[in-house]
Amino acid sequence: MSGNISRVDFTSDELFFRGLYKEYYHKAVYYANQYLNDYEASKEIVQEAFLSLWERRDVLEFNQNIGAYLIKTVKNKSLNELRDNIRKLQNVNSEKQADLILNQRSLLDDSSSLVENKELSLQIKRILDNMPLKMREVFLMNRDMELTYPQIAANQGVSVKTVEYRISRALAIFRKNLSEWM
Amino acid sequence: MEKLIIKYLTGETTVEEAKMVREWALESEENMEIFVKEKNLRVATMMPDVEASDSEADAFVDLLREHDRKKPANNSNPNKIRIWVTAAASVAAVALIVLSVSLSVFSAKNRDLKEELAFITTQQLSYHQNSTPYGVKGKVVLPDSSVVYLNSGSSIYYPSKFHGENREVDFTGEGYFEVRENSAFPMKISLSNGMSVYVKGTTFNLSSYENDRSLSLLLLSGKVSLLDNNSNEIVKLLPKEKLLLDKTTSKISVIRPQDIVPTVGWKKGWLVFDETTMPEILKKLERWYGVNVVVNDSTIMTKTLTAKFREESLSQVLELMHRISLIDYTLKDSTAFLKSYSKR
Repeated sequence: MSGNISRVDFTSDELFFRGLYKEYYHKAVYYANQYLNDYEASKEIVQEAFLSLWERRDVLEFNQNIGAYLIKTVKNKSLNELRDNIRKLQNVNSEKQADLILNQRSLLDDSSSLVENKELSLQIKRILDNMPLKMREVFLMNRDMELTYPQIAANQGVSVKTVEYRISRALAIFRKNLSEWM
Repeated sequence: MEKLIIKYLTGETTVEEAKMVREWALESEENMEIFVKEKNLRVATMMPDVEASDSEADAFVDLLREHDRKKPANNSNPNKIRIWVTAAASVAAVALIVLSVSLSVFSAKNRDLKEELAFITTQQLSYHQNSTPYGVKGKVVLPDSSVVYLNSGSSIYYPSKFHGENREVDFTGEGYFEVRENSAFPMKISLSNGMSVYVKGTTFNLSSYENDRSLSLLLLSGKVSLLDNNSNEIVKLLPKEKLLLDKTTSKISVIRPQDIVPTVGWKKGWLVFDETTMPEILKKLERWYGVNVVVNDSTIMTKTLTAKFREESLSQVLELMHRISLIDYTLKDSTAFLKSYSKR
């Protein structure tokens, strides 16, 4: 199908889930991958989460916070996966196992649900809005376009050191302004 | 340790450093808690704000249909469908806005496509930087036809087209701004110290050199405010008022200067010193004439000067400073060597 022609043959259920998928797919995969350290497994889990929501679409009470519900589903599935992987790594790779244990502890903590917090996301947006243009641009290239530092450097015509500096400054600003959440 | 945790979370630690972080976190519950909060806050901050592409979303709908063929859903509830239609419509509206800004239609896995999009996106949101080297002044017309006169050693950074809530520019150095009136679409000038100047349409002179101790803002007409790092208003100026901020002590004073020429004279070619201290004078001379000034004797740094120059060369300025017993000097290539005045 050509990219320019948009499909019109969706049912309302499909249209709703299509919108949900567009908005949350990349966020959810990123979220799972931050704890599983496994991109392929993260994609699978997110797909399963969407499908399980789809299956239950007629019995669940959806409100506008369905994104939070999706993330919660991904979180539970990720915890199961983590538990299995940690067991499998016993006596195989203690470093990888320790990484996953740290991730498991993080995911079990309530603060891992911060991503669902609308107020926090708003504040993150506000902080971004207040950043100097160049810093924000470089930060977003890294975060949202997943460009590497050398790619950003080439694109902006500055040195990799400058990119590094701007991103670390951006993160420092976040840390300073979000201290109340920690 | 905090720094090391951040490094670990970015995946930039060496093998030994990563080991240190793991052991430290597993050592005690307090440590673990610090680690966990740091990790989760980072995940929240770094959450990408990117939509899946239309083709990905279409493929997802195909998957849903495929899924239903194998495993049909329960009976439909017509009431719920109606709610979803409204929700879906609002999602679509949001999607449109986001698309026009960020063109976020790439697969996270496809490198070539991603690079291409990076290119397109930056083309769309292209930015301009205009800088004046030392010894050179300049004039910039912004996309909204606001005009900025740049004094030497200044730099302004702005998008090819203003969008979003504010007309946003980055600025360092000294500039005389004539900002187009648009109260619905204010201009926000971000400074290198994190503060910003917020204007709706006005004329003012802003001096905010990165290596200067103070920042000054003289309002000639209209309204202008200075905002802190969190965009909270610190001061609002009235016409003819001049704000001075000492960047080291954060002390702010607002004065009503008798004469504005010392502040804005540069635009007409006046180099003005008004009880100006020597460190300030030397910085100005370096910028104005594009030269280096080397001081061989720190005793002159406490002296001040009041004088007005126009179209004088650097040697004429230095000669005058010598004649009034301020300094001795030698000029070699583009460097001026200064020391204290001595009668011969």
